[in-house]
This record gives sequence, structure tokens and C-alpha cells, in this order.
Amino acid sequence: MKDIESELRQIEQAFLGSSDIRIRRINAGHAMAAIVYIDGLIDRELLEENVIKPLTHAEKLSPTAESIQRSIYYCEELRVKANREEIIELIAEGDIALLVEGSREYFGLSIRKYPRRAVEEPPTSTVFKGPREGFVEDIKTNLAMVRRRVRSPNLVVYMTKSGKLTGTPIAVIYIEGVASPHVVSKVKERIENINMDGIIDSSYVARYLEEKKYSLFTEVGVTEKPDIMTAKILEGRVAVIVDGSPIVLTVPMLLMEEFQDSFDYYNKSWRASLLRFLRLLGAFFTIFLPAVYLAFTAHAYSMLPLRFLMSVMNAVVGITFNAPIEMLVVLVLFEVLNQASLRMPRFLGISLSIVGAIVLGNTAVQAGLISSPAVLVTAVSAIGLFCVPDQVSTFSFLRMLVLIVSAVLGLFGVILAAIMLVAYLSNLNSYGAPYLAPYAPIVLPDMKDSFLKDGVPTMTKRPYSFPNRNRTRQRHPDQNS
Amino acid sequence: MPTNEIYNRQFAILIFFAAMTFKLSNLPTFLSTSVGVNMLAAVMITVIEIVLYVLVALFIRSGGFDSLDYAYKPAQYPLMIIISLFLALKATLFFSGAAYNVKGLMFDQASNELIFLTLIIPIAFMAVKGIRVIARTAEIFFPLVVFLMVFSIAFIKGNMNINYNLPLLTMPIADYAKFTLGYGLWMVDALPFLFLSLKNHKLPYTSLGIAFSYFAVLACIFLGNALYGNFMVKIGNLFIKVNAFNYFAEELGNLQWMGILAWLTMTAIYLSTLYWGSIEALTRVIKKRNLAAAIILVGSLISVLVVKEILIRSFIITPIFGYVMLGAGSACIILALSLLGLKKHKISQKGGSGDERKDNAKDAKDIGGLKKADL
Repeated sequence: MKDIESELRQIEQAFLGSSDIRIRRINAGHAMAAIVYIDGLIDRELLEENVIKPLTHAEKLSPTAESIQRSIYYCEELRVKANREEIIELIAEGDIALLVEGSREYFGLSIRKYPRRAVEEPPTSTVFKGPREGFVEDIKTNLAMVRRRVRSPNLVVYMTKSGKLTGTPIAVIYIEGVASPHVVSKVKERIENINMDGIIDSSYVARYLEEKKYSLFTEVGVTEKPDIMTAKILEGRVAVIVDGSPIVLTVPMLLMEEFQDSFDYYNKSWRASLLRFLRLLGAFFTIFLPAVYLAFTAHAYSMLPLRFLMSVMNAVVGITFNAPIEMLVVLVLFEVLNQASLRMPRFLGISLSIVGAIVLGNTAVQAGLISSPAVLVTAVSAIGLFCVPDQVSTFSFLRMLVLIVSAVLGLFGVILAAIMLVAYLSNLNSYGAPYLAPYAPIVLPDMKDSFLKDGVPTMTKRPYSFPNRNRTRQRHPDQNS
Repeated sequence: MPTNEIYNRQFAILIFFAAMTFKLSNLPTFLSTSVGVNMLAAVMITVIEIVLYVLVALFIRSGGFDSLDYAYKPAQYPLMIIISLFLALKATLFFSGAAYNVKGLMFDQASNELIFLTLIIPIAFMAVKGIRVIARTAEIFFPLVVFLMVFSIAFIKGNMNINYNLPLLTMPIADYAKFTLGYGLWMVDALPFLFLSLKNHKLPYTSLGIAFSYFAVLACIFLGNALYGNFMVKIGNLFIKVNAFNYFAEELGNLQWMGILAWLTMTAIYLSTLYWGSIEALTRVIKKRNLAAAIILVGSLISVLVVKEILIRSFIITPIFGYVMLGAGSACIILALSLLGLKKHKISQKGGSGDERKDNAKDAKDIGGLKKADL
């Protein structure tokens, strides 16, 4: 280092004169030293107590890493950087740079302290029973939550960075000997190959992990809860945690996962099976109910039972729009209300519900613009939509699509749409796992954790539906005795 | 290029769909017109089908076309062209029949073109994506189809009389054979499966699938005859019409939609199997799968758009056409099996001593990459 002042000028210039760059010049053991950091990213108290105070009180400080390490109360190993670019990178990440007169090297210390959210129950995955912890935006807190659950050296955390400007830390987590090495290397490769300016959220990474670019369905599992993530990696999946996002990604992903919930595993298996069937029914109602209603009432009313037909006919007499337009109007209205309620401040949400339910719905029915069966069908479909919360946008889109097909082609169109949907899903694969497994292809051992769920003690094997290693999860209870 | 390897169990489901779809739609009506309401014609068709399936299963088990590796090109290329044409023709005729059935049943006002253009979408998608997608789709719909069939049969509301089935030999056997073989279009369902390769051969799903499917076909025709008797000549699509009379009709309405749902699903899956087989055969000749798919699917669509329904209807029930179809289809299966047998024989006859002979013997056993462990 030629001259400490010139070095500081160069560092300042590298940050283009940003106002939050702080430089602190000190006398450390009769030598000039300077500390550079970004305001707001470090623990000021620790800096004063553990770094500056010991340095200024040091009687003699030679400009070597060993001497500095001995002088300060800093537990981690001092990072020594040979060139300026590397130390600038460290400062940008939130570390402290220490420059000492007479030294050829730059020293880095990490006492980061970001503003972070407390661990709390995630709003999208609330449970009656079971752990309530949710992931937060800080990757270290998230990793700690996982480590606390898997106390094994086989839990591997592979850290990398992505985003040319953001340099976002990304962790690939798996259990060695359980996860498939092929899947692990594929995930790592795809993350390494991301070449964009910034990763803001894990959903950015998810798009790169998907097998099909324009797939309608999510091919990457998401969770906000460490207990769910732990369960998934114990089955042999690979998880990806992205700094700045509370949503953790898991691959491979099966459609069946969307119908499973952590609550199922903390409950009796018959109850869990029933709930899963109800979720399936909810999904079916969401996508097909408006279309089937429209197909029967507009095209194939002769197939309806007479009394039901009479009720429907009485309700739709005098309605201004024809059935397809009416149904489309109601669905579009629902989508608009849904979007508005998501973006509106919470205290206004209740008012919006009242406006939606009473003012819009009731008044429209009374005015004869829409019929009450159409509102009922949309309401049931809307409730069903949230039985599978991670596929809301896909199901919502499919519902509209199938409705339009039904309006044009009636029951014939609905049946064709159903066949097409199943064929499309049959064609999807996630990291070597058929998306519809364990139903297509049928994987009999995995049926224990499908729509019919067996008790935890009987799940002695890891899933066969996707690639993993070491199938045995537990010895059969009979073998233990 | 998508893989043609599916599970044994999936093959059994595809056999079921292939057997049930068109044999239970218009065939019983045609048969009753020719030979009356007795079961002998149906039994004869079933026996022929079972024999052909056994041959195809043997061919698949011995390694299938993959093990021939374009050997005997002078024989293989014409064979592939005939198979492709056969399957494309069969698929086109059934596609057209299915579309007119749909139009008559549920969509009188729609134009033929609209029905053709919409019906082809899922069929083409599955055919292009390959047998694995077809098999998985069939696997998903199989429980639903079986449930709907059992439900409609279990709660039939009608005066069933098994005596409506005439005694078996009301005509000389030769006459039965003459009329039955004339419905060759409805036979040789096994042909597209020549291109399959199967996982877990040891499990008995294929044989169970063949046995169960054709037993179900015979049982359904028997029940249909018992339900409709001589009126069978007017029924049209038995698979759907059997739902017309049901104990739950008052509560649930006209349950024909259940038949339509099951039949249309099976139709889409079976037709995509036929188109897939045709594409596979043509791909082995022209080497470009996308081109083969485009030729077959576009050609088929144009044919059904151009040719009038009445022409198709009168064409498919011409006995000569039936004989040709049955003959050509069966000949293809036998020829394919002969080529494979010839290759296996040649390998086992190869000279050499010691290790070389061992290798040849191993080749003969593992022909087509089928290792002992797979068998």
C-alpha cells in the first residue's frame, strides 16, 4: 500500500462518492489505520467495542494479519485481500475494511447487522397444529432454522452468489447420501448459469430452475416454513434459499405436493386423506364448475334433472345477458375484486368485501344483470381456488380458459379441455420425476402419501416417484422389536 | 425423440381402451345388422384379437423393432410404410366416425369443421408427445372410465332379457366368418403396440389386460343384446346409449353425459395411439419425426374435411375393405415377428468358438437391449 490516504480516495471513488460510505481514521499502536464501511449494514456497537477500542489501545501494532488478529476482540478469522477490488467487493457486501499503514494487504472483518424481520408465522401457511415458525428474508436466519432441525453433518449447504449487481447469496441445501447427485449438480449448474443483473427474490431463481420455460404449472415447489422444507429434503429433494426472500424453493416437484399440507402430517391419517380429497374437489370446482354449469345450462340443458332445470330456468328468466357473457362478467368481476383486495390496505379489505358481496353481487342480481346461480357457482369456484394456494394464478387462468371453451363448444369442449389438461400434465417432468406421479405412472409404494395418506410409522421408504438415494427412512416397526 | 418404453401396467390399460372404444360404439349395431343379435361373431373377433395381441406381446418381449436396428431394410421399409398407412387410415376413419358421433350426440348446430379442428388438438398433442404421455393420460382416466362404466351398467333400468341373445349357430359358421372378417377395420388393435418396449415384463399385467379387456367387450355386447334385442340395429353408439336408462336418471338427469365423457376420453386416447403408431412407422422411413407427424396429422385432417360422411360410412362397412384391413394388419404383425425371429436365428447360428460363441449366445438372449434382469 503506497499511501493510506490515496487508497481511501480510490475506495471512495469506487463507490462514486456515495454518502453512506463511512471512513474512520484511527491511530493504532503508533500506526495510521482506517476503517471503511457502509453505514447501516454493520453493528456499530461491536465496531466500537471489539475493533476500534482495542486497536487504539494497542501499544504496538505491526501491519500483519496475525498482529491485528491478536489485537482486536474479533472471533472470526480476519480476511486478507491482496487487491483493492476484492476489498471493495467486501465493503459492498456489508463488511468492514481495515487499512493499516505499511501493510501490503487489506483486511476484512464481518460484523454485519441488517434491519431484519422477526421470525413469525407466515401469512400463507397458517396451521392449527404444528410449528409456526416461518422463513424470513435473511438467509443466515433461514439456514439456522434448517440446521436446528437437521443436526447432521450430512446436511450440505452450498453457498453461491448470483446477480451481477446484487451479488445475492444463494444456498443450495440437500442431505448427502439422500438427495440424487444428478439433481444436485443440475440445480447448481442452473444457478451458476444465471447471468442477470439482479436477483431480487427466489421467484427469479425459480424461473431458471424450471424444466419448461413456458409451463402453465409451477415446476418448482415453494414453502415459507422450515418444517416443510426439512421434510422435503429428508425425502431427497434439494432446497434453494435466496437471500432477501422468505420463499424457499424445492425440486423435484410433483403436482401431488400442492394437495399436501404440513397439517396433514400432524394429524390422523384418515383426517388428512379426507382433507386432501376436499382440496382436490376444490381444485376441480375451481377449474371446471363454471364451465360445466355453463355447458349444461347453455348447451346441454336436456341432460339436467327436471326439477334442477326448472330452478335454474326460474332464476335466469329476465337476465339481460346470455349465459356465457353473464358467467364471464361474474368471473371477471371476481378477479378484479380479488386483485383489489390483495393490494388494498388491510383496514380497507373488510369494506371491499362488503362492497363486493352486498353492493355488487346483491344489487346486480336484484337488477337482473346476473343470476343468483351464476354468483353461487362463481363463489364456490372462488373458494375452491384457495384450497390449493400455490396454484391460484394457474387455476384462475385455466378456469377462464375452460369457461371460454365451454361457451363455444359446450360439454364437448369441457371434456376435450379436461383431456388436454391431463395430457399436458402427463407431459411434464421435474428433474426426472413425472409431474403426475404417483398416479401417472402409478408408483404403488408412494400411494401411502398421496390422496390416501397412511400413518407416519408405516412410511418406511423414501418416495420412489423422484430420483433420490437410500430409500430406507426407518426400519419397519416390527423389525425394531 | 420421445422414448417408447412404458410400464407393463400402462400397456394393459391401453389394451383395455383399444378394445373397448370402438368395439362397443358402432360395431354391435353393424354386427346385429349382418348376423343378428348373437355372440358368435363377437367371440370370433375376440379370438382373432387375442391371437394378434399374443403375437405382438411376443414381438415386444423379444426386443421389438429397436432390436432389428434397420436390419433387412428391403423388408423393413415397405413394412413400415404399410403399417403407417394402415394405422393412419384406421385413425382417420375412426376419427371421422367419432367426430360425427359427437356431432349427432351433443352438438347438432356446430359445423363439422369446428368439431374436427377441436377434436384433433388433444389427439395430435398426445400422438406427437409419444406413447409415454398417452399411457400416463390413460392411467389417470382409467379409474374414472371404469367407475362410469360400472355405474351405468350396475344401475341400468330396463327389461334385460338374456334370451334376446340368439343361439350361437343360427347360421353356418362360414357365413359368420364371412361377415365377421368383413369388419376388419375394428380388428388388429394390437398393431401400433409393435413399437413399444416394456418395463417389468415379469408382471402379468399384459396377459391380464388382454383377458380382462376382451372379456369386458364380450360381456358388454352380451348385456347390450340382452337390453336392446333386435332393436340393436338402431342403437348406434352402444357405449353411450346404455346410459340412457338408469335408476338415478330422475335425480341426476339424463346420464348419457357419463357415457359421452368416458367414450370421448377413450376415443382421444385410442386415436392418439393409432396416430402415434403411424408416426413411429413413418419416422423409421423418413427419419424426421416432426415431418412424419405433420404429414400424417395434416393429411388425416384434410381427408376428413374433404370426404363426406356418407362416403366414409358406406366405405368402412364394405366387406372387401374389412378383409383387406384384417389381412394387411395381421400380415404386418406376422412379418415383423418373422424378421425378428430370422435375426435371432442368424445370431444363434453364427460360428466362432469360445468367447465369441458365448457373446453371440448372449446377444441372442439379450436382443434389443433386454437384459436378463429386465425379464
